[in-house]
Amino acid sequence: MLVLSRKKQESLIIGGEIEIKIVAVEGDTVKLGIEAPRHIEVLRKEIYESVRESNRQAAASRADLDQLSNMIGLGKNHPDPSA
Amino acid sequence: MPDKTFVFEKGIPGFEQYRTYIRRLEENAPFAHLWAADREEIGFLLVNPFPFCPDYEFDMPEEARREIGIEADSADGMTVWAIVTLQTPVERSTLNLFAPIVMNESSGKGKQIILHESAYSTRHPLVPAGRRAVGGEAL
Repeated sequence: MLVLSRKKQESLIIGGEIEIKIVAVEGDTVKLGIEAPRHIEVLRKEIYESVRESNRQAAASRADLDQLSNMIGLGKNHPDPSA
Repeated sequence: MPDKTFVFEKGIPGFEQYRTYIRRLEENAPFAHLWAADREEIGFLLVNPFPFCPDYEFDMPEEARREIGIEADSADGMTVWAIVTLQTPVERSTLNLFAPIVMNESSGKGKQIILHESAYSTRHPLVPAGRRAVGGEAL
């Protein structure tokens, strides 16, 4: 990981198209201004992590999905032809 | 309705390495299965969120619209799904309204979008709390 120091109002440029500017420093909070092309999604990491975690918990194998559908009463009108 | 292939250009958070998924719709039910074409162990149960949350709404971010090829101010050909996290008993299962899956039915592209400015939850109850005690009722 690259570690470098910046002062208030100073910036970083990443890949020539993303600018991250130190807008303010208040106690242990740093306020950042970010300018990036629209196709670059900028998210707080903990938010992205919460979606990853939720997806990991939701993931099931295809076989499990078929079984679960039968359990909750779905799919009984069209049994898996391969079964 | 035959199985349909969807490409998730950026993958799905947590499973970024899988880009191609196959979707199978359940007949007569608002559910679908989605699994990675290369790895059937990676799959999700999807549900149409609107019967479960009639007021559900969000603005489609411009970058997401571009990524799956949906015209501005139009929802033509777009379907919206929520990933279900199954729990035991099944009535305690939840749906992820914070990060819905949007699919372009014409281009075959999909994306999980993160509504980071919304108050929606990744664990919205599938069955409202007041109805959970009712045994045997169809979902």
